[in-house]
Amino acid sequence: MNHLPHAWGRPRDDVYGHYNPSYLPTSLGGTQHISSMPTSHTQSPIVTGTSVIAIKFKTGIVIAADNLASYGSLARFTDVKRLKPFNKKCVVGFGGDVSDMQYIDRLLMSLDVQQNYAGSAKEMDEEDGGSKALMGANNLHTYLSKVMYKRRSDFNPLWNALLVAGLDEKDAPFLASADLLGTTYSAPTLATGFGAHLAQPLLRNVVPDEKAVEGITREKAVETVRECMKVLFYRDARSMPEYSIAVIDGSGVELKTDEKLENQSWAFAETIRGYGTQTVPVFVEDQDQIRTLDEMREYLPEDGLSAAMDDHPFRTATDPGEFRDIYLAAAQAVERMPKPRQLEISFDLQVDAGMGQGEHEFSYAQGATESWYQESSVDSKVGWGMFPTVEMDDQVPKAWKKVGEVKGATIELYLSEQNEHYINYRLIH
Amino acid sequence: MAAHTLHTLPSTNPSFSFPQHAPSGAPTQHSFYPYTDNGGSTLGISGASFTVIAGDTRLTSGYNILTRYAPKLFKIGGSGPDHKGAKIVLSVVGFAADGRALQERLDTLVKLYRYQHGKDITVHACAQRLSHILYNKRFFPYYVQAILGGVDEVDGSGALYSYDPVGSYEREYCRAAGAAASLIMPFLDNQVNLKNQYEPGSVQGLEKKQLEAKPLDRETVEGLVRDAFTSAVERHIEVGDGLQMMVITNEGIEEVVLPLKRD
Amino acid sequence: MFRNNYDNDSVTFSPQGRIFQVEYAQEAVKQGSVVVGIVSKTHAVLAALKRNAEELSSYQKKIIPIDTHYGVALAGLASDARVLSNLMKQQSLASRLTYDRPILLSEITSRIGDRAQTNTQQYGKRPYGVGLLIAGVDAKGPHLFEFQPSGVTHEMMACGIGARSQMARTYLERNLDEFQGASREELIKHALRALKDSLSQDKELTIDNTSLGVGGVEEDFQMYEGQDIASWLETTFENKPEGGEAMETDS
Repeated sequence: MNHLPHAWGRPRDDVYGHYNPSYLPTSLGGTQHISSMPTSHTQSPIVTGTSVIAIKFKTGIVIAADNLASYGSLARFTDVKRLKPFNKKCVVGFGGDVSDMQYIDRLLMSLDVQQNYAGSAKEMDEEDGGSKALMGANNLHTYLSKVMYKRRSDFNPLWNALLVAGLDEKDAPFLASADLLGTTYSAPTLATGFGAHLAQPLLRNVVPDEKAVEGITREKAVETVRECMKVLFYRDARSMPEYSIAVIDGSGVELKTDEKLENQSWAFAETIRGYGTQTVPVFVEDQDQIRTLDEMREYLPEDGLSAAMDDHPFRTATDPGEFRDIYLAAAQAVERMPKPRQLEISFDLQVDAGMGQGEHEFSYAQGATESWYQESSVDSKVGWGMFPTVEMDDQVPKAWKKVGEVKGATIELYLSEQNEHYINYRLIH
Repeated sequence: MAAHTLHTLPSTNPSFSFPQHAPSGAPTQHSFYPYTDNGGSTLGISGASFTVIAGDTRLTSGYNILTRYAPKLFKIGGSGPDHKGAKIVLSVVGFAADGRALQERLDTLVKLYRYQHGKDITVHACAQRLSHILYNKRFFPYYVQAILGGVDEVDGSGALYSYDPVGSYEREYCRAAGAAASLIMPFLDNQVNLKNQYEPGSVQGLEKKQLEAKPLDRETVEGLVRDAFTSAVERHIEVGDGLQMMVITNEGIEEVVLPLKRD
Repeated sequence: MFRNNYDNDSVTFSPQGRIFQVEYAQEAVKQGSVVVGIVSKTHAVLAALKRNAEELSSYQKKIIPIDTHYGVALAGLASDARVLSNLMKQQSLASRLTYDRPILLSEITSRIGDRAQTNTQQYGKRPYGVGLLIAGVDAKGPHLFEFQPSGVTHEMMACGIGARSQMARTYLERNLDEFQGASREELIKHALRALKDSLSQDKELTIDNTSLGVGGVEEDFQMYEGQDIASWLETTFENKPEGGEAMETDS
């Protein structure tokens, strides 16, 4: 038997001759015209929504999605609510095709009618058993996953990724996903679409496992989700700053559909020069190899810093020699740290924006000290411009412990408590 | 670590056990392909009076970890949603949605069997039924590798059956399936079936006496399972997070979930 | 032979507004041996009297566990009950599969009620010749439903159907106030006493002719037969001071 599964079930050429393609459409080498072809179903989504994100907290769930429906790269509809509440206990978040979302929403409405038909709404309220007999989010998720799987098995998929959030039959927080293939899974944090890449790591930082859910308050969960929505808007081109957010807990569904992103900082955008990794005036890579001062010295450009600085549109505020002193002092400080150590060094360069000739405008510093970076799980430093910059005040994120100070050179050394891989230097003006 | 070192990584694509796109000679068109590979690995080993089935709990999609806890092992039969009194375990690896559908179908059929016949289905009957379910859908297969385990009602020995996606099946002493099957199976061949192990001192010229495989005891088997998975985790990105292990004996099913590396 | 001209099918009304075929079907229920059901705040109990066709034959099946949370007791044509219980089993499994939840007893009852009703409105169909008591616990708590061949269903606090069931109902009506707060054991005893009241003088409840089904909150529906019910029979009847026959409620 042929070991290639692709050949299974096909007539053997040596016995039956070549495959007769006449029944296929002309585009596939056959003779059939499209009008006489078999029914075809959705081959791709048309108007789409992007990420949905959700996180569990001690007594409930927070779920969010922005209000945009895109037509390819066109931001086509800017007021589309992609969170659909269901019966006081559940919210379904939809990513993917919007018309399929609307179809599923109609399914949900008829399901709601069917569920409430047997017992009147009055009975639901009065009887103690009423709210227990309501469909829980787990029941709804099972139902929707069956719908999705049936449609994929019919080769007529509903082109969506769904998050079902809410309370289950026992009023415990429930969060699970179902997608166009009928794949289902559950986790304390979930994100679809771009969110799976950008938001999920941030969410998992806050809630790494089911046990951690106990320690998360409603406020913390909401704050985390809002922060993630911001990151998604920064980096997902098919997103917008108006979004919906819902909190489901014992007191019911609280759905807000007209939220706006707050405290955006696009300052980092000014420093972006083209795509990809940017040239950093001074950086040291390959943490494992750098051990001694001499080795580190090798990483300095031959003629001090000027060569490296030349590549950069900005000029240093201090002269290269001074900068070099600081650098070496930092290196000495690193030397004193216990081994083994993993290093990744970023300098908070004070740069002259180049605007004022006579005065030094110390306006921005590289954003490595900003808490946004520190809290994110992005574990690679990609140089200039990839992170928002902050104004150079004396704020240091609280989670960073001051581990040493080098007097002669004006530099302070901080060690992140959460992640000891990073050492951050901060130039003091 | 740093992004600027990323380019030093080998630029090979990850290998998946299934094609990521529909096989087609036509120019690539954005069309619907109803399968995906959700990674993960399973294995089963039978002993003299028990069967152990294990699987990791990671669920992946490409490079994404969808969740760290998605069981691949399911109790079959018994009563109610908790499968009280069940003595058969099914493990499925491959396309998770198909795995789930297969599990639900088999479980429903086994429960109906009990309702209609007033007694529990035997493992070998259940094994054949599973084969039929898979075979009936051979033109649109459940894209899973299944392993079924229980205790033989006739002689009390551990019973283990393994399947291909279209229903070919076989009773075996051990079997690994899924993403890391190619890593685990040779290990099991050597440690369970004692392949390439010879009696010390029996080598005389070309004469070598193969060691004869005997049923292993439970501690040994559980040790092998843990070793197999901790090793697979090191070498396969789609395996990790948790190890779910079920031991089926005549008394019932014992289940443990152990941590695996989450990287 | 015929009682009148209006009982040839189940779709024709008599001038008095009756459908005789349905009423005959209800007679079939009265031919069946008695079954009793009671609910408390926490439990639902079914008790049934099994008949054997002859000395050498086995006893009929009166209580059928359907899902883990409920079961049915039947009076009337056992084969019709089997068809209905198969349907209920399927519907119950379907509810678990599509919604991951045990079906509500009110829902499964109205499903078979609707099904039975169609038999009374389509030519060539025959009504089911069986009555059912559906008892168990769902998300709304313990329940007991009565199903009749006409498709009529009622939720009951206590109920008895089948031959001579009037006596059982009398017992149940007299003790109705006690059921709500009764414990599991008390409820079982009440069911057995009600069942006993329906027996003719020369008959006794034995471990061979009695079936029990018990469901409760956080407790799966469980059927008890044979030796499992021996102690209940003993404590309910034998230990009564006055020869076991007298019940405090008989006064």
